[in-house]
Amino acid sequence: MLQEDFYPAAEKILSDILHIIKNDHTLTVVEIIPSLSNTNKSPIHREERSLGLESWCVQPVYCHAYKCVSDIRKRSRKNIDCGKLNSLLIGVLLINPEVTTFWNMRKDLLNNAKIDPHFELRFCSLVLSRKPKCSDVYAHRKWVLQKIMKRNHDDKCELLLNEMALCEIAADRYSNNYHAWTHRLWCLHQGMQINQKQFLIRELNWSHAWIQKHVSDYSGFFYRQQVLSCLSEYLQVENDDFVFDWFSSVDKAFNELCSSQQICSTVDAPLPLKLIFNELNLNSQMVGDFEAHEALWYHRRFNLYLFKKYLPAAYDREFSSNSEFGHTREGVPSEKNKKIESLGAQLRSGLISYENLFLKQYKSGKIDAATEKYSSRHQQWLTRCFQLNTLSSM
Amino acid sequence: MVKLYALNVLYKGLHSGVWLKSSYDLQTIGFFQRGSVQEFMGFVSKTIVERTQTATRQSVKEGEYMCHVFVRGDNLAGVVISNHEYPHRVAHTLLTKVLDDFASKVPANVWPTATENSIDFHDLPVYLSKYQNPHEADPMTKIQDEIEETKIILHQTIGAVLERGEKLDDLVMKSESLSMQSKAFYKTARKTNSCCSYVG
Repeated sequence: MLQEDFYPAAEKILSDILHIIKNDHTLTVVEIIPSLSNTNKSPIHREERSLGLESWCVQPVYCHAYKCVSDIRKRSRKNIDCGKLNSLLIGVLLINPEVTTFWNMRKDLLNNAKIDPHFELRFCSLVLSRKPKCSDVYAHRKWVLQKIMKRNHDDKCELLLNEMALCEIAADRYSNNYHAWTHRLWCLHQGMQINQKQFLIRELNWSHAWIQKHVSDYSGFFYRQQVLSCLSEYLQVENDDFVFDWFSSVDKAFNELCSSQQICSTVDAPLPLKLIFNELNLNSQMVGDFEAHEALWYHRRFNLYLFKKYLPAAYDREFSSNSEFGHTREGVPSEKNKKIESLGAQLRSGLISYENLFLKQYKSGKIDAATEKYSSRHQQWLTRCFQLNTLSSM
Repeated sequence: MVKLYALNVLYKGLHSGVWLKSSYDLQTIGFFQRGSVQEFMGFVSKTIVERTQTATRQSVKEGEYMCHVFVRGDNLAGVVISNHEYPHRVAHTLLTKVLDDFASKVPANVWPTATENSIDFHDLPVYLSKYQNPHEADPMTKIQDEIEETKIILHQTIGAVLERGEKLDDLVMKSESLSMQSKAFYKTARKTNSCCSYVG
C-alpha cells in the first residue's frame, strides 16, 4: 500500500537523479544525508560537486525501483522502455551496487547502444564515491573500458590515466582497498602495452608520493613493489640514454651510499640495484619519520629480497649454463666472471653493513615497544634471508 | 592517510573550556558531512580539554582519528586532530610550538574571557598546512627529545578520558553546540560503526 502511494514521488526522484547525472559533468560525489523527518520537500540536494540524497527517501525509492526492475525482467523483452529502465537501474545501483544481475542488465543496454559508454563510466565513478570497494562496479567498469578500447585506439592513454585517478580516490577513501588496487594494476599492464617506459616511470613517481601519505596501507606498497619489479626487469635489458638521464639523481644517491660503505667500484653496479638501493634509502627515512608501522618493515623486506635477486653473482649463476656469459666449459670461472663475482660480494657486504647501521638506531631503549619488536624481527629475517651467522653479534 | 584535520587553541577554565582560536582542513570530507564533522571535532576538542589535567599531554584514539591534547601549566590548551597514521610525536611538537607562539602574541590576562573573534592571532591555518607533511616539519628535533621525556598518555577510546559514569552518546545528545543535523550524522555513524565520515 505504502509503496503504491509513493509511486509518483519515487518516479520523480529517479528521473531527477538521472537528469542531474546526465547533464552535470562536474558531479563527482554522491552522499546520503541523514535526515530527521520527511519534510515534504525534494530530497535531492545539489551543492559544490556533490549530489546529496536525504536518508528518508532511500528505502522507499530503492524498494520501488527494485520491484519495477524485477517486473521488467520477468516480462517479455520486446516492449521495454529503455529510458525508464535506465533511470530505475541507476537509482537501484546508486543505493546498492552489490547486485550483479542489475549490472548485467546495464551491459545489455550498452550492447544495444541505449547508453553511451562514457556516461556509464561517469555513473560508475559516482557509485564508487559512495562504495569505494564494491567489486561489482570495478568488474563492470573493466568490461565497459574494454568495449571502448576495442572501438577506438586514439584516447586509450587518456582513458587509462582517468582510471588511475579514479583508483587513487577510491584507495584514499578506503584503506587496503583490494579491488581498487587490482584495477589500477590492470590499467598499468594495459598502459605498458602502449608505452612501457612512460607508464612505469609515471607510476613510480606517483606511488612515491602516495606511500608517503599512506604509511600503513600495505596495498599501496604492494603496488609500488609491482612497479619496482617491472622497472627492474626493464632496466636490465634497456640501456638507452633516457634511462641514464633519468637515473642521474639515483646514481648520485647510490654513489654517496657506496662511498659511505667503502664500496669502490660503483660504476659497474647494475641499474636495477641502484634503483632498489634508492628505494631502501627512502624506506629508512620513512621508518624514522613514522614510528611503529609494520607495513614499512615489510616493504623493506621486499626491497632486500629484490636486491638479492639482482646481485651480479646471482644472475651470473642463472646464466651459467650459457657458457659465453658465465663459466667456461671446463667449469673454471673466466676473468670477466671473477670480476662480476667480486663486485657482487662487495655489494652484498655493503648492503649488510648498511642494514646493520640502520638497525642499530632501533635498538636502544628510547624507541617504542612496537618498533623494537619489528626491528628484532627484521634482524632475524635478515639472518635467514642472507644466511648470516655473524650478524647477531653485531 | 597522513593527515591533519584540526588545530585548536583553548583555555581550560575552572568549569569549562574557552575557545580561543580554531582552524580546520576538511577538504577530504564529503560536502554534506563537512559542517557536521567540523562541529563534532569542535565538540570533542572542548570535551577533551575539559577532562585533561593541567600540565598533561594525552593522545586519544577514536576510530580512524587521533586526538592529541596538551594542557600547559598555565591552563593554555591545544588540540590537534589527525588520522592514526600521523606521527604522535610530531603532533605534540606542533602543539608545543603553537602554544608558545600563541602565548607570546596574546597576553595571558585575556585568555579566560576572550572570544574567538576578539583574538588577533591568525597563524593556525599556516601551521596546519605546513605540518600536513610531517617530514617537512622536522628541524625541531630538540623539542621532540624533550617531549619523549615527558610522558604522553595514550588512550584507546574517548570513553577512557571521560569521567566516571559519563557516556559519549549522552554528552552528544545533551550538547547545545551540536546541531540536530550533526546529531543525526552521529547516530548514523554509530550504527554503521564508521566514525563521523563516509556515512553509508
